[in-house]
Amino acid sequence: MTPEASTPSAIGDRGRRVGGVARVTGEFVFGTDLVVPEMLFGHVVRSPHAHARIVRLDTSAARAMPGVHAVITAADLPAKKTYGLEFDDQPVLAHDRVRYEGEPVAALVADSARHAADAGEALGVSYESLLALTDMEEALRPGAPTLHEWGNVVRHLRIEHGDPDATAEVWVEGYYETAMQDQAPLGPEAALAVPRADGSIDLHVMTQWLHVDRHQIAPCLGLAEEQVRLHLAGVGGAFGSREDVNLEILAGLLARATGRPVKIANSREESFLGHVHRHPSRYWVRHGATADGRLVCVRARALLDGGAYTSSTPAVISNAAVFATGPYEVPNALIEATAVYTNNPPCGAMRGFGSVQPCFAYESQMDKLARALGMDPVELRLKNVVRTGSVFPTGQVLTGTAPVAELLRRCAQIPLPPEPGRDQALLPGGSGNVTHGEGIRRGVGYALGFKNFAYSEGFDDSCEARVTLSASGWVPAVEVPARRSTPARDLPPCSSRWRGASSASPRWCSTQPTRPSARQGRARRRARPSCPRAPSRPPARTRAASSSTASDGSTTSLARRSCRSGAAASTPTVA
Amino acid sequence: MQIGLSVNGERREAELEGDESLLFVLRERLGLAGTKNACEQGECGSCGVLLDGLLVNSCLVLAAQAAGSEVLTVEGLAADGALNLVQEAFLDAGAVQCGFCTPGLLIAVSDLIGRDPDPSEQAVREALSGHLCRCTGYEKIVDAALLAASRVLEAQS
Repeated sequence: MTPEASTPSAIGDRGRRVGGVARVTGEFVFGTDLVVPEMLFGHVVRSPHAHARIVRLDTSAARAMPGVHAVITAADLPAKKTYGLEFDDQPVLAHDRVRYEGEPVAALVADSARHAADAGEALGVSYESLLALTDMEEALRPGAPTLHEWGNVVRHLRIEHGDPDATAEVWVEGYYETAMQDQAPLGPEAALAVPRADGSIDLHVMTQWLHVDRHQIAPCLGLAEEQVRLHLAGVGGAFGSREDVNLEILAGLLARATGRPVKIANSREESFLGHVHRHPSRYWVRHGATADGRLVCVRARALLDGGAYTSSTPAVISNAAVFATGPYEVPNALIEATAVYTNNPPCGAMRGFGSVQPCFAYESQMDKLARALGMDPVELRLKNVVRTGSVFPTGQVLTGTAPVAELLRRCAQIPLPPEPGRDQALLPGGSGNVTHGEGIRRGVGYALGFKNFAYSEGFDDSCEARVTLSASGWVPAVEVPARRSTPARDLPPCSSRWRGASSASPRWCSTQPTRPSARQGRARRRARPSCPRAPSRPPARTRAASSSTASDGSTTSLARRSCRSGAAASTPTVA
Repeated sequence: MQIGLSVNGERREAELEGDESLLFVLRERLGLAGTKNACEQGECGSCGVLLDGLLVNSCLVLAAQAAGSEVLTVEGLAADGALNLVQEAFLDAGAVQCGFCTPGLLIAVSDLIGRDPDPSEQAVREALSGHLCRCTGYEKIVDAALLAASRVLEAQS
């Protein structure tokens, strides 16, 4: 067996995936694979209605079912009753009213998954159906059902740039819709909660942002944060769907109710109901240009459907507004963006995070404009793409490298692939016999997309790595969180120690905005050289370094040093 | 009811309820969690195993039907702790990301190479058409399958 290589040293190097061996032998433990002694099986009962009042919730029949240990409803919640990433409006269990199909109404636990599901069927719930608000435009109309006491608007943004009333020689206009999408990670959600005798709890979770989950989970369990220890269970894909807390609070409540370890694992259907989705969108856009193809003005109005609860919609609608004009220089713009609540499933993070919906609109507009001008679509884009120094409608100046024109030129040079030939399997639809070659037209289209490579709106973005000198080895080890189930033989050969990630780990950056490798790698690199190679005496010393990047791309660094064996931490110093 | 079957060359007995799937018995009764449950409706291939040499979605096989059969799961691929050529190829080609689809794909590629030692890219795509992967975009999985086939051929010549 070939030993696994350590972290790749440079871009383009081919490194084997850390933890790869366990993944090809079947040993890697995903969240759904977790098993501990005495474990019970949880199940979530979900609303079949998009909008309804709960008129009766009787748990007696469910409690009497074989193997059932506990049933909890909103009435049994011990402490905080809601949670949320940015705004805590999502009920742990629905109280009085359900606002989307799939909303958790009760959770129960039994000695087998089958008994738990059977008991769920026996739960006595009666609903009075309410008018469901399923269209995002309707949410803004007078007389629409009000979904929250603060109204139906999650957030509204208006960005004015230059003279939004600027006149242009050529105008094109369009209306664009995108539909809801699902991340559908292959590994369904699961959570395992293990209660401890001292009242604390260990939670094994599949997540993208473990440290922030704890802020949301602990108050709902009625525990202090340090009484809730989170451990990263094997994650079977995420793509944004694991940024929100999912089953963790319910598993924790059931474990505390029974005093036994409780695992809840979603089926595929439950997974679709249980996690957030990509926001459906509507864009109304006008592009104005000079006769020779220079953009003069863009007016865009965006509407996003946030579904029943807030999740990360305030940040997504911000991206949907900021990116509305695309990677083009636009001297004048007016962008209005609104996100609303509806009785559709809650929407939140999914790959692209609000940068995908406007892309469909602005790139369709660029093609439309090229047609109106009688220009080559590549030429039109080349004339308008951003460069270093360009100013976005928000006023942000593009300070980094931006080889957009170069990329586009290179793409345009790629020849059309050869005809696929007559093999039926290679035709659209394949052996489904959709076509035998008739009706097929081949062509080339161009589209540019862009996205923030960190959080938006100045959100603090930091990542820590910890260097530890231990008395036994004398070798500096860089602790970077990895999967807890990574077996010893997957460890990189020297210097780097991959630790199981938990809430006790350094606060590594979340697995988000397309940049964990860059961010964690940078923190690690900063932590390492600061570590003496041959210390003259054996102090057990830890050094933590964090790097943070502001939304404009500028970087500041902070190295923190703290001592592990009882000595007081020194004052943080700016490196 | 009780059934006996051979799993990865080892004789196993399982006490089960009549309507349980082979996937459920492997994972929950025999503790072999390497075979994955991602859809439980035969759409994704994550639960792929060889049943008497035939590639099946174990979620769609009634466990009782597997009584007396020989089953090969991902846990049976690495002989004596050494990765086989298909497993090595998946790691070398970068075909393993989150890894949830990997066990089913390894079984399917092993099955393909057994039937077709020198498969074309098209044959690989056809053979893997019953498998879903949400991370890779499939290109590296196809690369891995072709690499594995070429290494197996080389090892045999």
